[in-house]
Amino acid sequence: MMMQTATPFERGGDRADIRSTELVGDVSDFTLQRRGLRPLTFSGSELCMAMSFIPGNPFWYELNVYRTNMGKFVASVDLYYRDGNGLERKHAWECDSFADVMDSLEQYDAGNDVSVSMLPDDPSLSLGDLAAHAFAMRARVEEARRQFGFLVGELLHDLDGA
Amino acid sequence: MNAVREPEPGVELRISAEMRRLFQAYRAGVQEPVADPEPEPEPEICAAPPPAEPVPMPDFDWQTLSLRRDGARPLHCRAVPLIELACETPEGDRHEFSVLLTDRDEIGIVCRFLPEGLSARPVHTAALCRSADALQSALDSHDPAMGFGLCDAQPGPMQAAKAAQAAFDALVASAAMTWRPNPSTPRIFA
Repeated sequence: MMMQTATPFERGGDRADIRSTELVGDVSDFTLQRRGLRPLTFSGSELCMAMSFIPGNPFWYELNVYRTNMGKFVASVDLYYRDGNGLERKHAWECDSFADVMDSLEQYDAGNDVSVSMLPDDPSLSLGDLAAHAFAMRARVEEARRQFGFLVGELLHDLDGA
Repeated sequence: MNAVREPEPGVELRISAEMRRLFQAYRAGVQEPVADPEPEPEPEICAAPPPAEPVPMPDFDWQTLSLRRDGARPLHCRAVPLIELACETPEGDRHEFSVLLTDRDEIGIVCRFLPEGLSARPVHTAALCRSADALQSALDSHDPAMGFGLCDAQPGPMQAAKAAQAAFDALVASAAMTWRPNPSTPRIFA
C-alpha cells in the first residue's frame, strides 16, 4: 500500500539540481574492487546508484546497490578525490536481506575513509603543527560523514516518496 | 596521478523499479525508530491499579507526514504542527523549523537548511522525542554549517557557515519567544 505523505513545509527538499532517473538494471557479471580484500564477484543486476558532487569539494561519494542471482544483495561505496592525490576508497559487502542493506548504509561510518596524512611521532612537528593537523583531520572526518549521510538521506527520501 | 574527472554538480540518482518495490515492502514491515524510546515498565510488586480510562485524542487536523533525515530513512508519523517557522537570508538560503505533536504523544522536531544554488548542501534533521532531553539533543544535532563542507578552505564558505548557524539559532529563539500554547493543546512532557 502506498502511503500518502506530506511534509511540514511542502517546499522543503525540492531542488532543481537533483537528477533522478529510472535505472534499467540488466543482469550482468560484476567484479567490484575492494581495498584490502579480493574483488567481490557476482552475477546480478544493479538496483540503484546515488552520487552527489558540489563544485569545490575535494572529494565525493558514489554508492550502489545490487541484487545477485543467488538472492542476496551487495552494497558498494566508492570515494573519489578530485585532484587524484588521494587514493580512491572502494568498499563492497554482501548482505543477506534488503533490510541488512538499509541498516548497513545507515550505519556506515564514512569517517573511516579519511586517511591519516601525518605521523604523530614525527619529531620535526611542533605542537602547533600537530594541532593544525588534528583540526584538519577532524574537519575531513566530519565532512566525509556529512557528505555520505546527505547522500544516503537523499536516496532514502527519493525512495520514500515514490 | 591523473586527476579524476569531476561529475556534474548536484545529485544524481538512478533507481530501478525493483529497488522502489523492495523499499516499499521493507518500509511496510519495519518499526519506526524513536529518539528516546519509552523505558521498560518496572516489574510489578503489587497488584496493578485498574487501567485508566483511555484519554480521547483531541480532534486535531492530523496529517500523515514523512520527515526527511540525513543518513537515515525518513520518519513517518501522524502529527499536527505546533510551530512552523521559516526565514530566508539575503543570499536566498532558507531555514525551516517545525515542532509537531504526534498521535502517539511524541514531539517531533524538523529542522531544514535549504541553501540557494550549489554553494552548499541541504541539511535535514528530524526526530520523534518522548522527553525534553531528547528534544534538546535533536535540536543541538542540527548544524546548518555542516552543509558548507570543505570547499577549498576559502574564507567565504567559513563565514557563510557561521552565518547559517546564526540564522538558525535566531529562528529557534524567535520560536521560543513568540509561541504561546493554545489552551486546548495537551501539555508537553507534563
